[in-house]
Amino acid sequence: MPAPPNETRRILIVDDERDLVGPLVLRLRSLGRFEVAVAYDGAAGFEEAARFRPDVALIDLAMPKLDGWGLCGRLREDPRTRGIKVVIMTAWLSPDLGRHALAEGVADLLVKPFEDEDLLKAL
Amino acid sequence: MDQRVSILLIEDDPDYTMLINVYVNEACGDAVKYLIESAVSLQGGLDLLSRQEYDIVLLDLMLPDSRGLDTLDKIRAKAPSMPVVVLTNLDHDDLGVEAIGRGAQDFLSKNKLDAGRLRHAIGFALARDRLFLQMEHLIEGLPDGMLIVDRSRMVRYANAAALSLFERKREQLVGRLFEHALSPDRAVEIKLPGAPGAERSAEIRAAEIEWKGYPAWVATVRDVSELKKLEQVRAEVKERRHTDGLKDQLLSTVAHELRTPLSVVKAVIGTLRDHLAGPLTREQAELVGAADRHIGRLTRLLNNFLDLTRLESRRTRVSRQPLDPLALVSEVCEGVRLAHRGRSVVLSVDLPRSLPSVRVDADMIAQVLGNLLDNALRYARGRVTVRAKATEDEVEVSVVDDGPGIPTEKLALLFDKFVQLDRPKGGEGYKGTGLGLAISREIMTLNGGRIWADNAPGRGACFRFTLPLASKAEAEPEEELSHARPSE
Repeated sequence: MPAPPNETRRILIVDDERDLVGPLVLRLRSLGRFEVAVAYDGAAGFEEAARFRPDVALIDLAMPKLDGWGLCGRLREDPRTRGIKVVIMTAWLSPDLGRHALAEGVADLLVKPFEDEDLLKAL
Repeated sequence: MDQRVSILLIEDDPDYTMLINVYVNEACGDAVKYLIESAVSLQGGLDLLSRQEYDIVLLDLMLPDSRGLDTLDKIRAKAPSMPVVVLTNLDHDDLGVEAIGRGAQDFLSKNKLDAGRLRHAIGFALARDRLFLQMEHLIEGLPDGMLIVDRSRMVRYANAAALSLFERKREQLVGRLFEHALSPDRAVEIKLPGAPGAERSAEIRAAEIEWKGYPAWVATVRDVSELKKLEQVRAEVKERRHTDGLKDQLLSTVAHELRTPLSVVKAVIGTLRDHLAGPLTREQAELVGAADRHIGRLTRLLNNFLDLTRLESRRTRVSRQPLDPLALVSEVCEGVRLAHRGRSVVLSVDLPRSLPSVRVDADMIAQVLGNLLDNALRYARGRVTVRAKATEDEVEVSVVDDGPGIPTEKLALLFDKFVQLDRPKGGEGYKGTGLGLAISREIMTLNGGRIWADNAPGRGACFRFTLPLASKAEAEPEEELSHARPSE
C-alpha cells in the first residue's frame, strides 16, 4: 500500500450497487484518511459532487438516470466540479473503454472485481 | 486447294444426265473436282448409297419407281445426314420449296439448268450442310446439357452432355416424356442420378422456341453440384461467424454479470477479513479466509478464461515493439520479488551484460514471465533462477526451479487447457486455474516465439521461451488484428 498522504482526502462514490458501496465505504473510512460521501445514481452523484466537492469521484458506468459517462460530462461542464479527479470502476469491459476513458479525461480505470491495493493506488 | 466433291446423280432421263455431266465438267479449271456417279432409279440410287459415301445427292423427283416428295423421304431415310439438291421439272417451284421444308438443301428447276446455276446449287448445298453440321457439333459439344422438348413434353433432341447428366442412352431419353418441370421464369433445381452420398444436382432453364414449325421448349441442364457445395460451405462459414459473434456477446455478458456480484462478495469478504466490521473469532477468521482465497481463485479463473478466449479468437490487440529484453525481464522479476517478499524461496536473476533488441508486445511477455515465475516460486524448494541468452535468431529466457519437476508423461500436455499437475504444492492453499500455460502459449504464438518445458534431472522444472530478434522479426503492420476488432 502506498504511504498515506498527510491530509484527509474527500472521496465521492457513485454506484447503484449498494451492496458494493457499503463495504467500500467501510474500507475507506477504516483507513482514517478519507472522508467519504455516496450517491446511488448519476444525477444524485452530480448533486452530491457539487455540494461535497470531493477530491476524487469513484464512478460506476452502468447506472440509472445518468450513466457514468454522462456524469463525467456533467462534472466537466460545471465550473464547480471541473477539478474533480475521476476514477471509473466497471465490470463491463467494452472494446472502446480505454479510448472513451482517455477522451473523458479519466484519471484511472478499475475493473471489477478489483484489489484493495489498486483502489488505494487510484485514489 | 484441291477439293473433291463426289456426286450421286439419280436421274432417269439420259439427256439430263449427260447435260449435268457436261456442265459439271466445264469446271475443270476450278480448284474443285467433281466426280459424278449416276443411277436411273430410286432403287439404283439407294443401292449405291448403301455401298459408298457421297458428298451430295442430285435427285430427280420423277423416277420410274418413285414420284414426288416420297422419293426425297426415302433417300433421307437411307442417308439422313446427306445433303440433297432436288431437281424439279418445268415450273414445279412449289414442290422445290416444299422439298427444302422436308430436308433438302436446295432445289433446281431442270428447264432453267445451266452450268453456273448447277455449280451454285451444289456449292450452296454443301455450304449449308456444313453450317448445319457446325451448329450440330456446337450444340452436341456444349458442356451443358441441351434438350428440345415439345408441347406434349416429348423429348425431341438431347445433346451428349444431357445424356451424360441424366445417365441415359439417346433412345432412353429422346422420344420419351420429359419428367422434370420446365419454366421460362425460373431455374428449376433437380436431383441427378448418382451413387448414394454422391448425389448431384442440376439446374434446368427453359425458353419457348419454335421447333420445326411447332412451339416447343429448349432447355439447358447444368450440373450445379460444385456450386451447391460451395454455397453450403459459404452458408456454414456465415453461420459460424454468426455463432462466433453470439459467443463473444455471450461471453461479454457473462463476464459482466459475473464480475458485478463477484466484486460485491470480494469487497464484503475483504471487509470481514480485515476486521473492518468488527473482530472475528479464530474460527470465523478461518472460514472468512477460505472464502477469500476462493474468491481470489474465482476472479483469476474468470480473468484467465476471458484472456484465453480472446487470445484464441485472435481478438487481442498485439503491439509488438523493439525493446531491450534485459529491461523487460529485470522489471518483471523485480515485481514478482516484491509480491513474494517474505517467502523463503530465493529468486536469482542471472542475466548477461547485454542482449540484442527483441520485437514483442511487452505487456504480453511480462504476463508470460510473471506467470512462469509465480508457478516456479510455488513449486521451488529453495531457489528459482531466471536466465537469458541470445541465439542466432532469438533471445531465450529460462525459468528453472529446484522443485519436484514435471512427470515426463505430462510434459506434452502441460500447455493444454485445464491441465494441472499433482505436484506437491508450494503455496499454501493456492490453486491455479489450469489456464496460465495455455494463455502463455497463445501469447508466444502471437509474438512469434515459442514456449516449452523440460526437466533438469534432480533440479526441478525448466520452462523456456523465445523472443524473436527485432532485426529478424518479420515486418508486420502495427496492431496486427485478424478480426479487425479492438480488444478490450
